Order: sequence, then C-alpha cells, then structure tokens
Amino acid sequence: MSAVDRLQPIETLPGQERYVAPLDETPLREVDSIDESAPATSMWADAWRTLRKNPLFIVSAILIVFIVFVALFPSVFTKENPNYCSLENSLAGSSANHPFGFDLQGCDVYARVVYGTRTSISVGILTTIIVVFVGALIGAIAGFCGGWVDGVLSRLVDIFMAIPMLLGAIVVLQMFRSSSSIWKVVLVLALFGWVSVARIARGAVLSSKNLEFNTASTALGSTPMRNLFRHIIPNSLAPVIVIATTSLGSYIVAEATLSFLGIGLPTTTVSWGGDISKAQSILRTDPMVLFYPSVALAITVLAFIMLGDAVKDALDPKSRTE
Amino acid sequence: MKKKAIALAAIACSLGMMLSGCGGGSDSASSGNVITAYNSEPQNALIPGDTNESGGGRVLQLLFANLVRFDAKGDSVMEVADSITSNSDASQYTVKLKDGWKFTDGTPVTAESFTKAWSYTANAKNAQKCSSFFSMIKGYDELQDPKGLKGDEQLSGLKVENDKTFTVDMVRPDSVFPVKVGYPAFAPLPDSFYKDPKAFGEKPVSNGMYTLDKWDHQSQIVLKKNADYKGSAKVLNDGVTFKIYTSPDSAYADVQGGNLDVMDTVPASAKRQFQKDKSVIAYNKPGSVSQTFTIPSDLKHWETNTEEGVLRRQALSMAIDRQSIVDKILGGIGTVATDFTSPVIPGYSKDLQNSDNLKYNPDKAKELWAKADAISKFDGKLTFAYNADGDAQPVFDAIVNSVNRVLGNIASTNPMPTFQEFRNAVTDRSIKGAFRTGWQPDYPSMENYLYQLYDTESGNGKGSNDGDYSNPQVDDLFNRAMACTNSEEQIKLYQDAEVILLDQLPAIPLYYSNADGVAALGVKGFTMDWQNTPIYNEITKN
Amino acid sequence: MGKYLLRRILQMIPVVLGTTLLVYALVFALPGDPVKAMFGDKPINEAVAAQIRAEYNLDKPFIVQYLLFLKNALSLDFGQTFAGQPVIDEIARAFPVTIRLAVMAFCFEAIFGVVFGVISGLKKGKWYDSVILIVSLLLISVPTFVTGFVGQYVFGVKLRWLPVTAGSNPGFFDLLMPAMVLGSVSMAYIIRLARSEVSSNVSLDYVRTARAKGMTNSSVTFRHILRNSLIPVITYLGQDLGALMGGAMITEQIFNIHGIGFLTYQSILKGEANMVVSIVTLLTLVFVVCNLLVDMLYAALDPRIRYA
Repeated sequence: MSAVDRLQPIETLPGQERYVAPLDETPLREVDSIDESAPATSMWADAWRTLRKNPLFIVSAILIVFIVFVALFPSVFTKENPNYCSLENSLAGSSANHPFGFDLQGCDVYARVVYGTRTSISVGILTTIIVVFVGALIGAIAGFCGGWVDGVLSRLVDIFMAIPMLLGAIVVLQMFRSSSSIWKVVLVLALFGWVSVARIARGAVLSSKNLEFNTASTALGSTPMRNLFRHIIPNSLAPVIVIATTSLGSYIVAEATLSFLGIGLPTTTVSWGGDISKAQSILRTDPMVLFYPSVALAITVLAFIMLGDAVKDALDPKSRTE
Repeated sequence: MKKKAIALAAIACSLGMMLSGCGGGSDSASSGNVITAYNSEPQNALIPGDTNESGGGRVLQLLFANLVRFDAKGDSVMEVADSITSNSDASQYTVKLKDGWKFTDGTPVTAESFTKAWSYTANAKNAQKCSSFFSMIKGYDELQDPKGLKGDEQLSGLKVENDKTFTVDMVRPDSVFPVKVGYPAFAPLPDSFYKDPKAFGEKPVSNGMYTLDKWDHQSQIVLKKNADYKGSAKVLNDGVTFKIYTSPDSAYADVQGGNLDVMDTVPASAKRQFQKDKSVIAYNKPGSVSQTFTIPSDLKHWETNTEEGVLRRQALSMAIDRQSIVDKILGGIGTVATDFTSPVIPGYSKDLQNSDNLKYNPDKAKELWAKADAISKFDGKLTFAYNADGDAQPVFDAIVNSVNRVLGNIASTNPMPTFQEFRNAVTDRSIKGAFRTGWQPDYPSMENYLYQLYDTESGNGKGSNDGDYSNPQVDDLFNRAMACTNSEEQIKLYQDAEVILLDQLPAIPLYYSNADGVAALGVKGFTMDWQNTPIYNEITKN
Repeated sequence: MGKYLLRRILQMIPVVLGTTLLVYALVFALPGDPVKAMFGDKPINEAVAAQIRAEYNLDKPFIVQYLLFLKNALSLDFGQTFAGQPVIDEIARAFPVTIRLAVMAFCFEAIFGVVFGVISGLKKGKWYDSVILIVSLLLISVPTFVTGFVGQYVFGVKLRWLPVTAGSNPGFFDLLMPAMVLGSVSMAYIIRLARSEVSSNVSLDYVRTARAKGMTNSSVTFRHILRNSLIPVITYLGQDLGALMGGAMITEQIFNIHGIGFLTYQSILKGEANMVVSIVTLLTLVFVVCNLLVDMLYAALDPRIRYA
C-alpha cells in the first residue's frame, strides 16, 4: 500500500485537468457526471469506491484488522505466558485453560499462537513492504528505460537470484549477531525477495509500455515520466500486487524455513515459523502441535491473498469496465 | 508464435521426462547375504590417519585390523599383535606381531607396516588430521615443523627389531597405549600406500574383515568379505554396502520401507516412537557418548577455583531436571549422567562421592545460589551456546527453561548456525558463557574421557580441555594413573580425580546418548558395540 | 535481433565476474575457520592445520585467493573439495540429477499451475475457483520441510504408492514425489498469477470483439485471453527454473537426492569456497539463459515488444 501512497502527489501535477485517457474506458453515465474541478474522480478514488462494495474486501479487511489487533494486544486473548514451559506438561492434550494443549517443551500452544502473531505478521508485512517498494521500483525502471539501464539492472537481478539464500542469510545474520530484533530476518528475506518482484514488474512494464493508451498519451504531449507514473505503473500493478500479497504468507513461512536451518529468529522470540519448525521433529507422533500455528498462518495468508485480489480488481483499469 | 511457444514448452517437458526416464533404479541390489547400511559421504579420502569423522570411520573400521580390536563390551582383544608388553612405568612398549597376516594385495603385515604408517601420520608435512594421536611417542615434536620436512621422516621413538617386533618409546608414561592402538588411526599401511596416497584413499588396500570393492561417490561404498582375514572377529555376512544418505531422516524412511537394512542413528523426528514402530527392529541400550556443557573455568562469577563459582556451578547442575529431559525431550533414548565417563567404560561407577551434584534438587539449588549471591551478586545472564545444525536445540531449550524456573531468569540460549562457526568460537575461547560439549570416545578407557578433557596439559588449545580447567591435584592423579600398569589401581586413581571434578564441575554432565539404531524387518543379529556402532560383521539377513 | 543476442551474451562476462566475486566474498565472510572445523571436537594440530591452509590457499589474503581461483577456472580447473575430490567431478555427478528434478518440478508447476489458474480465472467465483484457492493457499502456508515429510510418510512409507527416497541415479517415479513437493509452492503462485491475469483480460475490448465476430469460446480463450495473460506467468516460470535447481536444498535432503541443492548446502556448511562459487556461477549462467529465453518469449507472445 505504501507504494500506492507515495504516488499520490502526482495527482497535483500540472496538466492533469486535461487528462482524458479514462473517458473511453468509463461508461457514459459516469462520464456525464464528471465534475472537472473535483480531484475525487482519480483512479485511486475510483478504486476505493469499487473496493468498498466488494465483499471479498470486507471479509479480508475484517480478518486483517482482527489479526493486527491480536498482534498488538495479545494479552487480551490469553493470560498464559508463552515462555513459561514445564516438561511436566510436555505434549499434554488440551484442557480448559489450555485449549490447544502443550508442545514438546511444555509450553501452552494457544498462548504461543497468540503471542507469535506479532512476530510473524511483522516479518510478513515489513518484508513485503520493502520487497515491493525496492523490487517494483527497480523492475519498473529497468522495463521503462530499457537499453543499458535494463541491462545493468536485469543482470544485477540475475546475480542475486543465483546466490543461495542460506549463504547470504548466514553471513547477514552473523553481522547482526548481537541484535535479537526481527529486522535481521526481514533484511535477509528482503535481500533475496526483491528480485522476483523486480522481474515481474519489469515484465509487466514492458508489456504495458507499448499499449495503445500509452502511445496515445505520448501523442498528446505527455512526458515519459508522466506516462510512467500515470499510465504504465497503474497498468502494471496488478501482477505485482498479486505476487506481493501471495508472497506475504510465504515470507512468514520462509522465517520457519530459516529456523529449520538454524538461522532464524532467536529461540526466545515466539513466532509461528519458529514453532512450526520446532514441531516438525514430533510430526509423526503429535501432529496437532504443528497444526495450530499452521492454521493461524494459513488464515493470515488467506486474508492477505483475498485483500490482494480485491485491491487488484479495484485498481486494474481493465477489470473496472465491468 | 504462440504455437511455437507451446511446442517449445512441450519439447522441454518431454526432454525432461526422457532424462528422468533414462535413470534406472539399480539401488536395491542388496542380494544374497550382503547387508546395506546407512552412511554419510566420508569427508576425507579413506586414509586411517586422516579420518576423524563417522562417515569415513564406519568404513575404515571394517577395512583395517589394528594391533588390538575392541569387542562388543569395549574390552581389547589382541588382533594383529601377539603381545604388547610394557616396562614398569609404562614408558616403553614392545610389540610382537602374529604370523600370517596379509594385506589384500598379498604383501605381509610387518612391524614396518605399523611404524612407517604411524610416522607418516605424525609427520606434519603429510597434513594428517589424526596427527596429534601420536604426540606421546618420542620424536613427535621434531616432526611438527613442516618447513624442514620431506614427509618420510620417522618417529625416533619407534624401533623395528625384526619383521615381527618393534619397540615404542614414550615421551612420558602412557599406561593406556595398549588400548589406544585399537583406534583406527593406528592402522598398518602397505608399501603401496606411500607411492600414491591419493589413489590409495580412493581404493584402500587393507588387512581387515572386509575389502573395498568400489566407492561410488555420493552413492555407495561396497565392501566385500575378506577371505584372508586372520582375526578373531566372526564375519557372518558376505559384504556390507554403505549407502550414502543426505540425512538420517531419509535413511530412516528407507529402513521403514525395507530399502535399507541397518542404521546406527535414529533421527530426532523418530526418536520418540521408533521403539513402537512395527515397521523396524529397534535397538536401544545405554551408550558411550557423554553429553555435557562446559562453562569456561575463568568466567567471572563461575570460576572453578573460587567458592562462589563452585557454588554456582553446583546450583546450576542441581537446577537441571535431567530425568525429565531424557524422558520427554529424548523420548527415553538416553541415560541420566552420574559421572564424567560413561556406563560402557571399564571403571564406570554411578555412586561416586559428590555425584549428588548431578541430581535434580531445586531446593538445594536455590540455597546454594543464594549463598553464592551473598558472596557476590550475579545479575547477568548465562548463555548456552550450541550449533543449530544438529539436534541440540530442544535439549538446550529445556535446560534453559528448567534453570530459569528454579533459579529465576538467569539463562538464555545462544544458537550458532553451523558446527564450523560454533567450534571456531569454542577453540578461539570467544564464548563468554556455557557451551555444548559432547565426547564420543576414541577408545574404551577412562583416560580418554578424563585426561583428554580436564588435564592442564590438554588446555590452552593443546587438547580438548575447552574450558581450560586446571587443578594440580587432578593433574597429579592423572599422572599417577598414566604411569600405573595395574588396571584396578589405575581405575581407582581416575575415580579419585572424578570425585574432585564432580565437586568443581568444570563441565556439567547431562546424559549419556544411548546406542540407538534401527534395522529393517528380517535382519538378524543386529546389536551395537561400546562405541554406539552396529557390529556390522555379525548382521545377516535371509 | 542478432545484435541484441550478442549483447546479451557479452553481458554474461560481467555477470559471472560479479557473481563469483560476491559469492567468494560471502563464503570468505562465513563465520568460522573451515580448517579448524575439520578437526571436529578433537584437538587441533596447528602445524597440520597450517599445511592444509597452504594447500587450499586459505592462508592468502582474500583477493589473492579469488584471483587464483579465477586464474585456475580459466583453465577449467575449479579446485578440489576438502575431501580431495575435484570440484568439477562433484558437480558433474550432482547436476544431471538436479536437472531431472528441476525439469520435472517445472513441468508439474507449469502445467498444473496454468491449467488450474486459467480455470479459476475463467470461472471466477464458482465453487472450483474456491477449492483451487484453498488448495493453493495450503501449499503456500505449509513449509516444504513439512509437505515433503508428510508426503514421504503418507505416500511412501504408509501407502507405498511411490518410492520413499530417490537414492543415486533416480528414475522418473523416484523423483515424482520430490518434484511435486518442490514445485508445489511455485504452482500455487502460478495459479494466483494466471487467475488474476485471465480474469482481467476476459472483459477486455478485444475479447468482446472476438466474441462479437462469432469466434468459438475455446478459440477466444486460447488465441486471445491465454496469449495475453501469459507474460507475467512466463516471467515467473523463467526465473523459477533456476531457483528450482539451486533451491532444492530441503527437498533433496528429505528424499535423499544427491543433487546441486544438497551439494550447495553441504559446501556452505563446510565453507568450501571453490565449490560454492563454481555452483553459483553455473546457476548464474542458467538464470541468464532462462531470462534470455523469457525475454525472447515476450517478443513472441506480444509482437509490440521489440528488442534492438
């Protein structure tokens, strides 16, 4: 969303009032009602109007608000301390105060799922923001400029793709050994995540660069930069949004994989990923310990995928003709 | 254009299928009485003096016959040696060999086969990783500066008297030498080795129970029964094929599926249920690997030579609920530690004085901790470092939880991603806290667990005394034991030293890893020896 | 076009140089001394350690090590592993297995990803759209080490439908389950991407025009919608082929496949710079070639994109 916010000032660029491109894409009824002095008919406002009416958006928004609430105020949902673990309770089943039972170390699984929300959501959201911002920017520049700029940036992407994440992760995590914050994990995931978004964004920009409306707008005297932000980026956003919202979940999962490889968050930090990776070793006998954090993760992923779909539909000028 | 794209994709895919199809599954070729066993790819060429890890160790142990071998219980049995006799203070040995032993290339095993091999390994020019095993033989120090060496210089302490006899002069008394020579690095080597060590490492010429048939890297190592083997071990099968696995988990799945006969380790994911698993034969007995953690002896508040430090060490030890850790985390696959050696070693005792310090006693722990705090307040945190690429994480999580519940929030974990990074930090002495230590014995002797780990001589980077523990009283007991040729007196001296160690706790023993393994259904005679290794030569199947 | 190709091929030189330097630096920056680690828990003989360091040039400054590696690499000598095996042999052993695995996973994710994604996109909101959403969701939110483990246990050990592990020289069926596990997450991505592209193209003018012209449904779908929806999907697939080769670390471990992923994993843990750099260089070439193919496909799918 931040990428979207940053584009807002473009709306006030001179020459905007004469912008006519959406007219032929908008039903006549709406064209008739255009009030030229009001900026509210911008693409973003339109998107918001469409979004508000989309049930997919409403459901996902409610879910996300709930998840964020859990992340901010975990103590509202449980009185248990997720780090109080006693081997007496090791793998004990569910009981009145402990609906999900206990894990191998005898920690309350429900409390850990609740407290893990903050870490996992932060890792997912922060990584996605960085990845989308950096990836989309570099991809867009590469696709838009073409020539040697494209060459340099694309080859940079090639290099990053080939470096094994494990290698980079060990080195980066070593550099921030003393810090126990989630930022080092975010940094690692972002360092290796931006390239896939960049490739997608470049591809999308390449294909919309040559579309009719763009040529038309150039013919009307629009500058290349204005074209980029006003036409090309909005038209290329759809695949990026899809990848970003789908990736959000995969970053939370990637945190689990890092833990599995022994290079994730500190073990004292409660996170879904960490718990999933710890539960892997008892999967044969006690699958439920792995089940609960996975379900929490799946619901989160679902919420963001639905949000992504809704936002994409709303933003995509192509699908708004319906 | 679109059609072209689809055609391209179709070609790529069918190419893939063809590539995939052309591989034939010839893996399950374990016919007759050849058993298949789990292994990882050896990390070195198959040269006894250069192998110090289990991937190569499993193979070499079956290929070579040393002066002595160890039976299942860890007692040494004369193998190539006819006798090993010492002078009164164990500083000189005379070794006599049996007749009739041959290498697989037909050359006889002579006194020189041993002395030249040992000198080669000791000689730093040859960069053999087991070099330091020979440090107690005279002449070792002269072979440690590679600049002036060619690689064929001999240890001056080894003298060949005739084809079947040689003498060994020691730098200092070493009563455990007759046991030590059973360690794989002390194997004899044929003359052909020195002509081309590299080629030898790919296909060793050996004198033991088996001979190497072929080594397909990253795939399998095929051993065949050696018909010329003259030793006393019974070889009941026709061969052992080691299959190379990427992880014990995948090997375990193969044992369940009947595609692998034997494996000598149980992956963490199966530890809790393999004994109930009806698709495998399980083996689980107390073993020889001792799991401990060490706190540097000079760590502030934790010194082994101050009252405060010793109180804290004892309090910490008593705050760890070892039994629960073994039962719950290890699923019962372990035995709670009661000393510094292990239950399968001659001289082990579970009732040594001060062994109460290893028993879970939260009240006493709090009391001792308070006493220590009265001397000087500890308001930091004790970190527990371990390598996260092994299975140590749940154990150390549990230790930290246990300690924090008893003594208040004083401990936290400090995982390091790789074994390499971890060992480096240990050997650089850069860890300012506790760290994981474990000891897999090289040969069945108390000396290997005690002298190598807690003598002053083994500290400061010269040995495996990673906590730099130093206590003249303990050193003295060790020295007397080293010079003592009577095994009962020797054991008594080591036990006396252990009593002091149990009081000062230079390292805190946790548990002994069990010898645990699984075999496929239909496999017969699956047992494991003192070293947690299957007795491969006695395993058969129909 | 020829000029463009030539330029792309020339670009490989700086890419390879950049990658090798970067990766060499990363391995160099790995914490710990690989030689010390060779001694395990046992005492380190410093004289021996020094000999080994000299043998592998580990005693030289970083830039000298790197230049020596480059110099030898030019004569196709990529050095030796710490176990004394030529790096090139190890890679030659592992690469064919990985190619088989990666191509199978690639076909799996491309075929099923596109088919399900297109169905989902054409029939947005129908019940099978929801089912496909849920399944792809599960694949994304469960880590590979769990999917692989469960798949192995259920289909291999319990049901015995598929081989439990692949072993050396694996055949088609040995690699079937690993390939599905490996490709599953990417398949989910492709489903999402294809669905989104198809659904936004369905209502475009040219599709309506095509229908108005009286074209059959299937021919509209294939000749217009699909072709215009494929660009992001192909981009993703193109970059994924390389990722599948390098990124199979966990899958290869679970299913006992001695491929590039496992080799990389081991070499990183052991700090084998020569091996890691050689593998990564090879992967870089794979990426560069894949991306070149993808860019060619762009032009093929969308005539408006032209390279000069």
